[in-house]
Amino acid sequence: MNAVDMSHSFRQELDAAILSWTHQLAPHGIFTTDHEMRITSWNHWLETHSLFRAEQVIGQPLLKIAPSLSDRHLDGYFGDALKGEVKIVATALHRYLLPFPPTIPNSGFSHMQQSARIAPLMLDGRIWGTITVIEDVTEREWQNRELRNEKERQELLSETLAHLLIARDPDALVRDLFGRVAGQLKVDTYLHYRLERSTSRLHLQSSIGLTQDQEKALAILEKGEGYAGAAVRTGRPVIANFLRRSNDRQAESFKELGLEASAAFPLTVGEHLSGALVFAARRREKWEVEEVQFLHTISRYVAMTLDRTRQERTLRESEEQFRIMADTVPDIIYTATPAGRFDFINQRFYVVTGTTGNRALHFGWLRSLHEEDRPHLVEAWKEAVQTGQPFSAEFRLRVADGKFRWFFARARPVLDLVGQIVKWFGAITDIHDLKETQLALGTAQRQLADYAANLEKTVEMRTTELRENILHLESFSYTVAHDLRAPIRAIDGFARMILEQCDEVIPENSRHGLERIIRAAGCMDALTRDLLNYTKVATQKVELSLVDPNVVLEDVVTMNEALREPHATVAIVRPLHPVLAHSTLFTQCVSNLLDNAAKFVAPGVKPRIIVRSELIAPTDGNSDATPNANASEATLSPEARTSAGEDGYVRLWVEDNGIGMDALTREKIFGLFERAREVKRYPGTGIGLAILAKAIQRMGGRFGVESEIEAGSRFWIELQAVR
Amino acid sequence: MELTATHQEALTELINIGYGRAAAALSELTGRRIILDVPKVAVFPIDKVSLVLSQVLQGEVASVHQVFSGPVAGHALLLLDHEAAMLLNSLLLDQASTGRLDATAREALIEVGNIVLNACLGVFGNLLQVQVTFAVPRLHMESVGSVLNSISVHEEELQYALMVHTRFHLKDSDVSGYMVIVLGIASFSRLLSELEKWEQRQVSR
Repeated sequence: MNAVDMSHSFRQELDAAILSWTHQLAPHGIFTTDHEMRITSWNHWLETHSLFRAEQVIGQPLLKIAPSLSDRHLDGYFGDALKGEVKIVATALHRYLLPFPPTIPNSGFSHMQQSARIAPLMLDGRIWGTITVIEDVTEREWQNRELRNEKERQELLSETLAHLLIARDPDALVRDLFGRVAGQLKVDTYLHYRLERSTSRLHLQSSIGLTQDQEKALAILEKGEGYAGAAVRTGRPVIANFLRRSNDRQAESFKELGLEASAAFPLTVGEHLSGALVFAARRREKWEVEEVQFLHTISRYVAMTLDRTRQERTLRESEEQFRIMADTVPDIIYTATPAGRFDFINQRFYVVTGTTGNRALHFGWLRSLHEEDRPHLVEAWKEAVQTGQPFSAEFRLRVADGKFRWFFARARPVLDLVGQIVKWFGAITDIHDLKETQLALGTAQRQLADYAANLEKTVEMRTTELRENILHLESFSYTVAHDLRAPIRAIDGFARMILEQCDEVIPENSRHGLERIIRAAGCMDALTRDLLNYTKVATQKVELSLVDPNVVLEDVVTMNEALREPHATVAIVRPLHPVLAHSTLFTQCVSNLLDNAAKFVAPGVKPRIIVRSELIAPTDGNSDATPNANASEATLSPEARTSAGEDGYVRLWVEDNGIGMDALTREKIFGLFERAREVKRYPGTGIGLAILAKAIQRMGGRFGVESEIEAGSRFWIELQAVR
Repeated sequence: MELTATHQEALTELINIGYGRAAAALSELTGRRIILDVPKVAVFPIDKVSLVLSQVLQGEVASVHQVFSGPVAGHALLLLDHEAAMLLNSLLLDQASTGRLDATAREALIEVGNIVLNACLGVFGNLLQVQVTFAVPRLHMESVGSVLNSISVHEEELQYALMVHTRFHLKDSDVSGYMVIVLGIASFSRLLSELEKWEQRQVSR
């Protein structure tokens, strides 16, 4: 049997069966009304979702079952349907047709979200009533809403991020931000805490939703106190739902404020913890996961902004400090871009050059430069900028009085982490005075060098002259002394002859006179002899060789009766070290010293003379001592010359128990014709020690005396030792 | 078939009456003042409509399509380009556009289109004193050509289209669209003759 063959009555039965099953099975609400809007059918789905059973509603006016229809102007839709129109009830515009409980718990919808169609129910070409089909679109709407919320959150986040990126005042920002978030998330309270590092306490920085008293009560949190404290301590978000039911100690203060849910986030960037941000709500009991994520993201943004503003502040301060410092130092300080353009120059530049404004920036400073220095300086600066090598240069700048002064500039590049030049730092120092001093010094040095060269020549010339003079003088005195002795000997000889031959006839006083002539002649002879000796010592050619002081001493003592017992005691402390000397001169020196030691004793005192020697290391013994000529005139024999000074010196001491001398005498005693005042009554010519001085000097040695009045004298001579 | 100036005037007035009712219904629905006005009314043979419309409505078009039947039968369409549909939707629902016409948004557009179309056709029904029966309105997202093609392909009778430029004013914004009523030649002749009678009644009153 096919559809064409169906009888009318069968068709009616089939329709009734379909309708019956539709009522049972349809996943939608289906109901009908008569033209008086009384409910005539109510399907199974409606029974399930409305909690009204069919028998409870059938026959009842629709507006009695759903009185809100007329408040929401939907009753007219049924009227329109009764006029033949098909009506659409869109969820977006009405949310629902009949008020049923929501099918998704905690979806935030107060009613099941519905879309519906209302159509006229035609019977035999007449409108008999209406038929309505309701669809549950709660799930769809919920998803849509979540999607919309998510989109709004994303938009809010990106807007927030844009805001945060340029924000200067983080507190104003958090406040503004909260205004946007509050509506979206039904939060009404926020608290922004700042962590005080020194005390580990949290200080309330800004808040919304609290009275002044409440703010005061929550102004400072101790370490770990409250949700904010917990978030800071753990470094993690602390989410609290259903506060009213919570027995948590941390919940206490919030419960008192009537808050139902709280979400606290630490404000962290990397390792740096700056505080906490707490969101709280009175109108909601719990947070959704997405909301927590959203708030967490917001908190991270805020933390980043706080960190950024903190860093910017530090940077501004350090830049400010640099500027202040730069303006305080006495040098010109500048910074330049990697391309070498001056982007900062301190006030000192303007003070020094007498210019004003920002004239020096970029390449303006070149205007103050001396024209001659400009090309090489520009070249050097260009090269430094290109190569990144440190820069230094000397140049002249026109200073305030219009004159040019010398300056010295140095600059170093500052590199970033990858070695790129970020900035040039430079300093310019006034070196004008230094430069002038250097120039003056150079001139002075040149003059001095010239002078020194002249001086050497002069000295050489004078020395030659002096040598010639000395030679002349010495030969003159030798001649004089030699020629003088002949008349002296004649005077002496003839005086003695007169005295011997005419002894009896000469009156007593004449004899006396003759005797004085003879004595004076003797003196004169001794004087000329000594003078002769002295000049001999001074002019004689001196060759040094090994001399044994023991032998010399023995000879001297043997030859001079006055040095022998019972007249005097000469004690020799052995060993006496051999010396490098001229035998004759050395003998003369030793003889002179022993003569003096035996002669200058107080009347009635027997001279006691001690002779000893000591070795002096090569480097020692050159610092003390009296008149001394280091410049030896002695001609050292070749073998002696090689060992000169290397073996040190021998100091030969001659100590006596004589009358001694004072300091003044000690200084003069070695001069020609110098005699101690105290020894006027002793015979002598005053030449002996002068001869000694000259002899020692010519042998390259040194001499000296240690003595006090009435305490004896200790003369010493020092000659090169021989090993 | 041409519209005389008299026809045009009468049609514009009648549609304005219908739009007045629709605007009242929409204002009530959304809780804010909505005005619908009719800058222009024109009649074209169906094969020309596509050409005319595709010049003012480009790309994908949202069309609320309602078939009506009875002594006068035809198709009623409200056409909005995608941008206008989105804008109207966000203005009516008072929420930021999600950038797409999801099921919720489509449904809202159907309801709005339905109100506008019913109001107009209701006025015609009253004028012609005929009972017009409506099918369930549907929303299509396709080009103007496809929409009109799907309508005319099944009809053998010569058809005319009454094209009504429509403007929604709400919240300082204008949303522009077109209402198109496609009628067979018989229905259209009848409409015009009834219009003339109505006009006379108005004058004699």
